[in-house]
Amino acid sequence: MKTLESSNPIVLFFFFLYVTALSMFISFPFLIIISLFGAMAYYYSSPAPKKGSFTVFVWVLFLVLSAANPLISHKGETILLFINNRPITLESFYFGLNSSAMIVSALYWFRTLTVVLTSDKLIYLTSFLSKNLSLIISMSVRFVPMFGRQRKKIKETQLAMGLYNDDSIVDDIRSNIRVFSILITWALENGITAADSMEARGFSLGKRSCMRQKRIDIFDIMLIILMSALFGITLAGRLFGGMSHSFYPRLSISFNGIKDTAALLSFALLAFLPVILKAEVSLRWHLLKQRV
Amino acid sequence: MLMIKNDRLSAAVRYSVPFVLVPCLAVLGALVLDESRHLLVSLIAAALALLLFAAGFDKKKIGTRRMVICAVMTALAFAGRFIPFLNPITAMAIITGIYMGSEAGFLVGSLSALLSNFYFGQGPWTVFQMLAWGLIGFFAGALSKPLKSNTVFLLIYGALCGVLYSFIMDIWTVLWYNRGFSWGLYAGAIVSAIPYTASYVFSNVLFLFFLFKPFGVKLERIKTKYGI
Repeated sequence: MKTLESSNPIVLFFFFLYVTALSMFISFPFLIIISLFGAMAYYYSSPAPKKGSFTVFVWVLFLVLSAANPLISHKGETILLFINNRPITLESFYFGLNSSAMIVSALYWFRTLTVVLTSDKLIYLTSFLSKNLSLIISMSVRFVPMFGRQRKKIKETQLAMGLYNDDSIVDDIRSNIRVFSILITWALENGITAADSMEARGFSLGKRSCMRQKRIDIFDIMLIILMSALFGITLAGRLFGGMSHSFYPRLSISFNGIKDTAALLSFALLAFLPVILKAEVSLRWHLLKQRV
Repeated sequence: MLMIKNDRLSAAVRYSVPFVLVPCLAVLGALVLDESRHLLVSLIAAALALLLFAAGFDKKKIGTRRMVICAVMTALAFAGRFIPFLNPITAMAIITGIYMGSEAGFLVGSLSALLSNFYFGQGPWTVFQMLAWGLIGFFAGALSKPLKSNTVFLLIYGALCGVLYSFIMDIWTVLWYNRGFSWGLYAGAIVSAIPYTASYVFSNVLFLFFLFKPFGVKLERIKTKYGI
């Protein structure tokens, strides 16, 4: 087995599609709790930068959002207190809590997606829709650091020509504008040169193919089938009337035995799949090291 | 402009999306699904609209040079989003739309949303941002004559785009949070987003005021020099 990140990007795409679709569109409280924990486990085990500040941001947002709903919505029959003669109800508090937990779990999933889906994987995925689209994306991604380097070069040249004067702010701004203007002209001209050299190599002749560095192996296919099956079970559980709940006028969560248990279990397996795979890989690596 | 090369695929999208899929979705959304599914319906509709644009661009064949210029403008908009508190994507999409045509404007707006969100956080809102910024660029291309000749009109268009962008994204926020539309929450979202709206309007007007003329001169020069 291998981790989800080292599998084919298609596997990654389906995983995030399934898991975010289920946790966003089935707002069953237990499912959202599972989704939240799965997302947090995946996020904190991924090599994401600035985990601390993201955590603070997300949980402050959670508090604000869950406080917002009871202040705005006054539905529900259990009244806790009155503020400005408006009732604050327990049900509306629960609804806010549920919605903000859903939003926080989705934020965790998408933050992990941002870390895990690197630009080469994005280019691979878009190449199925359109080869030109993936070409434009790859060129833009390359241009950003290239412009940064070129900006530095232009600035150094201008410095060497003695056109800069760091003492006065007006002069500083004017020379920065000058560097920016030169950079834009250079970027456009450079783009034309690149396009011409592409043309000279026969870019627009005939049918184009796209280099795909990643192959689909049997394990990827098995993972896709497994994930689709888990997604299907959870979705079927919802479509056939399971996991029904309502917040207004009174909180009611019906949990009818085997059907909901199966749906929630398969969702839990789906949500924790990346962490399980990661644990298996690192455990195997550990055992292999011990054997040496 | 050149998105889906496969003829049969793009024809399928071009005819099935406006004539079959979107009407089905609207009828389904109105009759079968209850209010809590508006989020799903809106998300699918936005994704279909993006697909339709991708397919529609195939009809005109525009050369490699234009495509690379689009990539350059996307990279500039994408890099500009790292400026704190300001957001140049709208301005770049408008400039590209005016000088390079509607399709280029749509492409630059939507692709810079997609790419910059890899740094600023991907999410279900990416689809709406792509559509909103793409449409801003698209309409700038459609209105290119009056926008190019009248700076006041251009700045008003930029400010209006900032406000509309913020309002459209707030609809999405409410749908996401409440699973159904509520005017009270929408008003709350608009009020809480006032600093963002102000920043959008300010940065659109600022960037359009300072960048429109220099970019216009440079793009026109490239166009006459190389005959794009």
